[in-house]
Amino acid sequence: MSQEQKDHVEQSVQAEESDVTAAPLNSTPSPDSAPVEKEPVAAEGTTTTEGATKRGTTGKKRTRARGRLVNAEEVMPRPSIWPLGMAFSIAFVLFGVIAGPIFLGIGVVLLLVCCLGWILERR
Amino acid sequence: MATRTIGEHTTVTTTGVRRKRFSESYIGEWITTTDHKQLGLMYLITGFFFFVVGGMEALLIRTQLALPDGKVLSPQVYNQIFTMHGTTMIFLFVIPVLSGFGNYVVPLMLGARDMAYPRMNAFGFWLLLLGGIFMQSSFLIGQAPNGGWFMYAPLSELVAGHAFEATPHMNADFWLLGTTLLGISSITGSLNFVVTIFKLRAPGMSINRMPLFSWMILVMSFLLLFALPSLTVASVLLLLDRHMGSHFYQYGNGGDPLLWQHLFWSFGHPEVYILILPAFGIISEILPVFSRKPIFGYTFIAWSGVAIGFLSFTVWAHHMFAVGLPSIAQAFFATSTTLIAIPTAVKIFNWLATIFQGKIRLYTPMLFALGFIAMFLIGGLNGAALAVVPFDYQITDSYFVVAHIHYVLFGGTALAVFAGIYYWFPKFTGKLMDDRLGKWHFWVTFLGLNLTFFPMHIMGILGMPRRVYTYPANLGWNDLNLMASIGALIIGVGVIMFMINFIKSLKYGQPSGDDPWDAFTLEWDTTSPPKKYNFLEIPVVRSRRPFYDKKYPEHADWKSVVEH
Ligand code: HEM
Ligand SMILES: [Cu+2]
Repeated sequence: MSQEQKDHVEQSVQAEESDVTAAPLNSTPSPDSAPVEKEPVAAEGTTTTEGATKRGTTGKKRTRARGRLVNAEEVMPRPSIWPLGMAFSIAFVLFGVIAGPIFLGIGVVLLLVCCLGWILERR
Repeated sequence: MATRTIGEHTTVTTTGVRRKRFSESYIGEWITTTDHKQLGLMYLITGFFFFVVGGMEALLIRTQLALPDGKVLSPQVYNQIFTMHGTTMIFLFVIPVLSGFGNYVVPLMLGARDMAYPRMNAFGFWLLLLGGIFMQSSFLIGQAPNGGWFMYAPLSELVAGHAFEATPHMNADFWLLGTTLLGISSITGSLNFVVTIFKLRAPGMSINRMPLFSWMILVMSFLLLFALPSLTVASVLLLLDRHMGSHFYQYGNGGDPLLWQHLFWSFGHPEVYILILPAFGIISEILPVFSRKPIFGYTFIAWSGVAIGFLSFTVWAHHMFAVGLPSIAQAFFATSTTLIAIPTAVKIFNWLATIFQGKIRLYTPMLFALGFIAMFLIGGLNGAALAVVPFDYQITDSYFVVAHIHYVLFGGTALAVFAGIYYWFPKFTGKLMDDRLGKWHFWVTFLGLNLTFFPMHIMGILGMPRRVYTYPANLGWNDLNLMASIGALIIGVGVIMFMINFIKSLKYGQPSGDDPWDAFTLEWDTTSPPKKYNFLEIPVVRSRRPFYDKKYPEHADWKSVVEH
């Protein structure tokens, strides 16, 4: 899925034209009233993702961007190896229960290492 | 966070040359992912892999039993095979596949960007995979678990008093440790679902506008959280008995063998509802879309699921009628068991009312959903028969119970799982599965399953006990067993058809577009397959069918429908 990661870099969005703003006036207002921190960067002519093209078909132009504009990497969880490491060490500990104290010991050490790794990982 | 809009990427690398991170390599991406969609697919693939493993174990069982005095498996191996069949199907197929759907679909349905705890999500998946490998690897040393999927003590003890050896080798240990691993996995998964559902719903999606599949995943998660501890406790006590010299389950030393059964079934019965509630959810999503109507009695379906959840903690001893419970206890558990049939029947009536006078489109997912209703009805009815104590005395531990299990779990859950795969495959891949082959798959499976499991009712009534490794020729069970074995082969053919369809559609499937079924819920209100961040802008919800409202603003639900 590294293609998608490239998409993050390439995509830019017409945020001011959303289906939400196109809804009738008596619509439920979005509870999010955070101030606009960045001007929406994209205008017509820039590359848009399919989603954006589909959504921005109302024709009406609104200037007010809703919510804060962020980039995908900022909101999306980062990949991490520690979940696998942690699962492996727990499995190893339980395996040690039947395979003998040496395995158990190795498992416990692994588990501690993974706990530390998980906790100290920069998000 | 919820309504933030994904915008332009501001931190484009300046130099353009950068060493690829490990998490960007092909393998690295799979093993470090925290994306709920990728993890969901990994759950589904793993679950399906174990479905095939469990299915082969089932075919071995049916080959052994096809003819009287079968010689295919030794009694010892037969015990291991049927134990691992049940354990695999329940813990390694159904739970993972349902969690897989939950992982993939629930955040999308709720209009969220991911699960609440993405790394914990990955952790749960890896535990599941390792737990599964751990348990199956017991075959390598010839000591697979052999005490049945409920692993009754004291037979699963190392020694059961009076120096009588029960399970002297490591067979039971594999099961106890393996289910403990899987238990941890399920706990993390459930916590994640609960928090996601409570905290990450899109603006406007109040809990009573949430899609029913999410409702059922919520109830399932609570059931897991409250039921699993008693399994873990039971397993730890048994491990202590086996290796540390305690006597929790040994009568001769002041322990109580029935303690295991109580602990196990107070997990085990909620567990069977854990296995069926998300299936109810899948059906409640598919029926309305393919009948072009909103679901009938949303509130009833949601809250009957909750009612089932509560009641399922009060019925466990219906698995123990034959142990000699006090009659007041028998009356209590028979009553509560019968009660649980009420909310279940409520759902069936709601589904029927949903399709009633609808514009039904008989695509494969709908076919499986209708098949589910019919088969689950049979399973529910023979369950209600088993709740009648005098009848249960006669029929318990016979093939009648095996018939019941399979009508609810295969005719029920497995058909719903297939319905879900056909329904959401376009979401996962952007391609349609072959509908004609899908229909073949359905009818072959439907035939096979009835041919396999219906005769088991009669075998049970004729007195054939479950879990016997063979039977003599003169008891009148021969034809029925042969029928069941042929049926099992036919199911196998169905599964192969499904695999062909799956692989073929993955490669050459017709492009589906974003919304092939003209669906109602938010998971379709984005690209298929969705981008990593799911939605460019988090949608705002004004009724139970937000995507329908968006597509048909003139008829939008929020204009006319009163939600209770
Ligand atoms: C209508 C509701 C249901 C009723 C009244 C009911 C009743 C019962 C009863 C009384 C038994 C014990 C039979 C015996 O061992 O003598 C039983 C066994 C069982 N039921 Fe149900 N049941 C119902 C629904 C379900 C559902 C929805 C599932 C799972 C999806 C399920 C799965 C099982 C399983 C796996 C067993 C066998 C456990 C074993 O001994 O291995 N049942 N049921
Ligand atoms: Cu039960």
